[in-house]
Amino acid sequence: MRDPKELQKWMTPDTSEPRVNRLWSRVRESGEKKAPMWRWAAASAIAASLAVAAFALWPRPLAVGSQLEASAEGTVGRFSDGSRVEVGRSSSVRLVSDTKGEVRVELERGSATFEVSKRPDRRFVVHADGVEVRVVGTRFTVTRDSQGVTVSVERGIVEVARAATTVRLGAGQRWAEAEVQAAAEAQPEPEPSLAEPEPELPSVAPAPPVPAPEPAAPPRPVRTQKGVHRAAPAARAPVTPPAAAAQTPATGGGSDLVERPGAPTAAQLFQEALAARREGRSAHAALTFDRFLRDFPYDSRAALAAFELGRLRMDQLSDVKGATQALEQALKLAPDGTFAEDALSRLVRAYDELGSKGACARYREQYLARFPNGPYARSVSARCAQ
Amino acid sequence: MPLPDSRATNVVPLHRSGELPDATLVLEAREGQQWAREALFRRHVKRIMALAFRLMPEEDPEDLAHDVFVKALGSLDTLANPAAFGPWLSAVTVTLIKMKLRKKRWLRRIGMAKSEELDAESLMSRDAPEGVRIALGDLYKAAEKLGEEERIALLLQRIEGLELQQIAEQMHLSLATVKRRIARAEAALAEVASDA
Repeated sequence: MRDPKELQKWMTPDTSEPRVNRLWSRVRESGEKKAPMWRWAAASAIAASLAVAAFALWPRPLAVGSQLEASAEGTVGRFSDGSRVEVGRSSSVRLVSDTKGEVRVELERGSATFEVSKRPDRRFVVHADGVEVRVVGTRFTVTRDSQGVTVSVERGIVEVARAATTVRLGAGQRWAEAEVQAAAEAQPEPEPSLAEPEPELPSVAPAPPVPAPEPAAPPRPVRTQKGVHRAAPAARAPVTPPAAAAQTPATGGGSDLVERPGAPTAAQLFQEALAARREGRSAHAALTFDRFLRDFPYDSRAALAAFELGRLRMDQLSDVKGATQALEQALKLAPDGTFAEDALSRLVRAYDELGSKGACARYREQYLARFPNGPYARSVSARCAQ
Repeated sequence: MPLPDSRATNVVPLHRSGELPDATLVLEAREGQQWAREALFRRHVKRIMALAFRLMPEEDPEDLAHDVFVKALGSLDTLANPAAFGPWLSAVTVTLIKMKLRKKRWLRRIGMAKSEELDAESLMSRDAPEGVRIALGDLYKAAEKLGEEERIALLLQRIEGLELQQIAEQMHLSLATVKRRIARAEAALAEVASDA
């Protein structure tokens, strides 16, 4: 039997000072928020009651061909894959087909918000008056009225196809058919291109609220990232990219710098995400970090939140592509952050798994240049094989 | 040894806490002194991260150490002998890892987690000699085939270098049970070595 001390020597983790400091920050924050046992017991009892109530009230999945119609009040429907739809007042949706590879829904009138379960092998398509919205896993609203169709994305990415053109929308972006038409009429030549650059997630500014469907007046409250507030009638460009939105911060409307009553603070969101992560509720933790980044992109914790989001997506949610976006954002926000070494090594692994050899090699070189004797140097060197 | 005048100043430079024994720091931490909690953390964190990493290298040691310290610092009142904080912390680590391994096994069984082979090579230092590489590779291959108690007992013995009695204390098992676990683990290890 080999001397254990000899084996230990070659099998040691990175315990560098920055890492220890970062870990202490996490431990301290978690410790401060630790609730007494009786609170946990009370919370468990409430959660159990809610679970029973939710089971009793949980809507049955919609059948193919069935219509979900809301009159004065909105209603909620569920699809067989777990996706949900909130149908606005005076609105109607119909489930056209539900197959192994695709769920297809028709928005017949009004407005509906979809929360789509992440299923890479299954497309979720919403059809509205000649416009098709294709999605893998996200939350977005489609509105159909006399002005045309409007699509607003809260998180994730969707594709909007109209005739022969397709637009890609990221979190916080919005597309309005009426504005596309107006832009096309104003500039007949050249043919307006709807192709958008890859959105940089998360957005630094949420989309403006979506106008309510006609004939509903006044505009109904629309839920946005910041809570509930009135729809704004201001005209916008066909697609509002984050970069453009960032040029006009703190001017009201969609600015993420405006605190609205009832909206969670940065500290609350961050703590909620940490707590969810600690309790193993990875999906909720990721959503909360994601929301934190969209609502508070300039907060001092944004870089750490992006890094934690990347780790969750990579380790717990099998969302390697999403992980690369979050990790890259973390490095962009804090290139010399305490997590830079971890983030770079993860990017190498992620791009290797995704088959993106170029990006993989680029991050590998960065890692080896900055951390030639780092704990991941060996595994990083072995990646990105052609 | 006199206590630092924490209540008067509310701030104690961390280097002074280095002179205090664990027992004093535990008593101060129980009183809500943040500096004592931090001192305990900094004194033991590297050892705990290393222990966690070697027992469950497929997980991030930072995450494991985080969970260990949150649990330990939150339940200092249950520590009967404050002077034994170090071994108690190791036992908390072992228990937490046992629970995580058990959870992982159940998730795999019901198809909610992927069964991934542990790449021991990627976890070792680049300069590890060939003999060490083979020994560690065999240990983790055998560990993959074992239940959580056999796995932990084997790694505590072969890598951490603990005696059977120490393993029994850290795992809250009887000495006889530990001997049975080790015997089963050694059989698996011999099988792996003969396959190689």
